[in-house]
Amino acid sequence: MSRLVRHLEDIVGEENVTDDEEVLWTYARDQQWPFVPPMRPDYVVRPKSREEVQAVMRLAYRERIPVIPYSAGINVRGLCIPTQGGIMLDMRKMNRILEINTEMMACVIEPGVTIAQLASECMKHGVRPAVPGCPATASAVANYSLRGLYHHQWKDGIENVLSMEVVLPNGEVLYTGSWGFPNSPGPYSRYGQGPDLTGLFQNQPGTMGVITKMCAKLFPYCDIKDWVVAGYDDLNELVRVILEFGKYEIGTSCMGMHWLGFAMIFSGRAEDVMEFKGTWGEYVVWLAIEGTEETKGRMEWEREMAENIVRNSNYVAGGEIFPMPEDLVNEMTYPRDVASWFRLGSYYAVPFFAQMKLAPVYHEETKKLWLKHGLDYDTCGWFIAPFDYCKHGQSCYYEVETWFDPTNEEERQKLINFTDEYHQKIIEMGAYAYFRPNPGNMSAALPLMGNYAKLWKAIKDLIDPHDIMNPGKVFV
Amino acid sequence: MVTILENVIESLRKYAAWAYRCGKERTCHFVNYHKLGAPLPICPSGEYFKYEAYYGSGRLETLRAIAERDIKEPSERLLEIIYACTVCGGCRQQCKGHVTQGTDVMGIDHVEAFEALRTVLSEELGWGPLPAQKAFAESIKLNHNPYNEPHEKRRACFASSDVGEPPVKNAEVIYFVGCTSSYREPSIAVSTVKLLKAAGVDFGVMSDEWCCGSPLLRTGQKSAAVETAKHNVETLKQMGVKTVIFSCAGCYRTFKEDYPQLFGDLGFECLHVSEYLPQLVKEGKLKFKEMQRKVTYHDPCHLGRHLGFAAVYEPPRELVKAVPGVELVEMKRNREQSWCCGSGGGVKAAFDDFAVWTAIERLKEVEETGAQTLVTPCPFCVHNFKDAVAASGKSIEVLDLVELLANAL
Ligand SMILES: Cc1cc2nc3c(=O)[nH]c(=O)nc-3n(C[C@H](O)[C@H](O)[C@H](O)COP(=O)(O)OP(=O)(O)OC[C@H]3O[C@@H](n4cnc5c(N)ncnc54)[C@H](O)[C@@H]3O)c2cc1C
Repeated sequence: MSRLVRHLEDIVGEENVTDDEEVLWTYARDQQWPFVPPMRPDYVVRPKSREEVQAVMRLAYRERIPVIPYSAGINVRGLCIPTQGGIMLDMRKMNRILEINTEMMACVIEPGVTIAQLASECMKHGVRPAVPGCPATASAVANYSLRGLYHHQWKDGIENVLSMEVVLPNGEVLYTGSWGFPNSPGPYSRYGQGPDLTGLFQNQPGTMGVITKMCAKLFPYCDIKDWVVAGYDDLNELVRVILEFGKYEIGTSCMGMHWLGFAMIFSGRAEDVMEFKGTWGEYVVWLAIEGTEETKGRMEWEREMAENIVRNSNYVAGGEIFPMPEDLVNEMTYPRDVASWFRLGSYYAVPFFAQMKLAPVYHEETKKLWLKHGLDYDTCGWFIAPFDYCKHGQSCYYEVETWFDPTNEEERQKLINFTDEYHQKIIEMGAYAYFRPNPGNMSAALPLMGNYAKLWKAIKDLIDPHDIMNPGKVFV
Repeated sequence: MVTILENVIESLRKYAAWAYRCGKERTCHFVNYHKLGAPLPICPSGEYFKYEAYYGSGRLETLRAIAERDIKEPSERLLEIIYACTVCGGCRQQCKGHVTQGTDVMGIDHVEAFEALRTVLSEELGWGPLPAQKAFAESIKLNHNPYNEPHEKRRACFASSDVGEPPVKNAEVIYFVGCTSSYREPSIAVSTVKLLKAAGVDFGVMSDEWCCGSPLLRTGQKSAAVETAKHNVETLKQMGVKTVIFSCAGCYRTFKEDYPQLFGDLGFECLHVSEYLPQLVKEGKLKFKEMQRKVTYHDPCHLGRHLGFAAVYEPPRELVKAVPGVELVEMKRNREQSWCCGSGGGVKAAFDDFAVWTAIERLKEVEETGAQTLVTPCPFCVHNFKDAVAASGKSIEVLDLVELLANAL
């Protein structure tokens, strides 16, 4: 047994450390392995408390060993795949919901808490957490710190963190937001003293420290859910309708999608997906309207407005308000069936933040590049998920997606080539940013980011001088 | 098509492709929370050992690593990852709701994949099975039961009971007793015979019943399993039997699912006793006395999700409710979302601590219901639950379904 394993065992106990090759293999790949080469960590370590995390970090800092925080490992971007080996810090044993506070509309959770665990617990209290569209087996802490794509981001936005307890690379603990102020009555506010230090630990996949607790936003639970769906052949018209919804602040969630993505939600089998083609037009928009007994009046108004906007548009299918199907209500509460949405193959996606009105441009450019790389246009899905009612910059999440056979070398290679070029294209097309940093996109963006990149790197060097935190995931 | 699966171990090619298809979304770690309202755990092995390798998703990745020869030799850890799994199908159940990506197949069949992996380990690579599993195979070869008990004592349990020996004859209905009821839980065999006699069923038992082969199949010892299975099938065919009934869920699943795959159409019907008795109750041939008891029911994997669409969930529950005064209360994880008892897949023989831990987890769920009695129609589950009661000191009565019914005659 190595000296390091002995040290780690002293910290977390023998049963919570391993360097057995057979265990390491199962942390070496995720679903994005064609784009992120598989690599094993050298150790898997499972801490049970913040103190244990601190001790592991002190050891790793001293010995300059890479540490990869892992809370559920389903990020599908290779964000937990090591680039230099090191310690896989599997946080699943720290899975307590410490507080659900309906007065402060906030919860305090550990990283091992899944979205499903949090959502089901919140339901008992008449509230709900922010629900990302990924399988609810994901960690709420990891998801919120990465900033995600949420079912109700149209209304509530994508920022769900209030404050954090973070173990820094050298083992010291930092509290952010109101948690960091002397005698503060709690961690419930993002607005702490001085600059926003919480943001420093967001959207940087495990590269600045280990989050051991998070205070996150909660929202009222809505038990009445309706939706309106409409199909369009003209993408400009779809964009206009979404902007119109936004102007009146209607609905809780809203998305525009290529017919293929929409078909994925409903069709049972692979071949049924293709049968959807042409039935809803090329593009589909859906808007969910949610409320409770008390807000029925507002819902009525929203329904009427939504229906009017759609009816006055150049739609080709749908257009009526109806109760959301039960399966979808579950999916909005704690997604699960999304795991099976990808019937045509393994899930491939390149997402970025962008501007709503430019969606037709992104779409055209993507199509050109897609065809250039010999890919099948029929399987080129995309969707656009606007946030904050498209106010303030018309910010949106735009995703190009497809489904592929990962064992088919040729198909894989075409996608790899497309991806490399697309990362450049995203910058050329005038997007706001990549959705999340990952090795594939950061190498394209950083050289063009000037002082922004320089300052970012300087801060990273200050906090993590030995570059032990998930190295290679931002600064490559 | 140029595939990356050119150089894999041939018998694992299909399953290695599944490992590539797996979305690694970990839905196989939890029950269907859309149905149960909370993400309760479904995988005993993952929950006990905790590393990713021990969940369905990780084990599939281990399969890939073996198939692609990333893992080149066995180790204690590797064998633990592969064999410390009850192959309960909890993971498959979660995946089965989905379509396997890029195919029309409903979900990844982890049970098939893991049993195939164990077969490759035993019969191609020579890395498995584990010593305890080899030992029961040896016993099955010598004594036709995995318990090292003399074959001639197979029906001894009846001799010491008040029902007497069941008839050994060529009847249309044959009761296949099974090894665990014959040697470890004799009261189950006796209770079944009591019920059949009370209902006036003209039935017989085999003069030379052998182990059904379930423990061998579950641990990848396929050739040995075929031998014992062949004996049973040929004997039953010679007897001209129409219906074989089983009190053991494991024997039942093996006859119903595995034998047809090995031998084609068997030519006789297979019914679990819980499927056979309800008609007798309906016809008034079986009547039960009142018995005041709050009971909960555990679905054995072999009678439930292993059978897919043919799963037997309702008939045993109807039988429990047929006893006047008995109140049936459900555990949170029930039917296809059931938590395994912990003993299947060769685990009881090789990892008894893990088996008992798994059963204790289930007993905690029993306590939550407030039931005094845990009823299940599987001697292997009963056996392990009794060990768990002894180990945990919990005051829960464990009964096989036929014991509950026979007590109420
Ligand atoms: C089918 C599918 C659909 C998806 N759709 C969406 C969607 O709609 N919206 C969305 O937001 N996401 C979506 N995703 C992406 C993904 O599931 C999420 O980003 C997920 O929340 C990542 O969380 P995780 O729990 O898997 O984190 P992990 O994979 O464990 O970690 C993700 C990153 O965070 C770091 N990290 C983890 N824990 C900590 C910690 N305690 N401290 C510091 N760093 C840490 C890791 O090092 C890693 O870099 C989807 C994924 C799939 C498979």
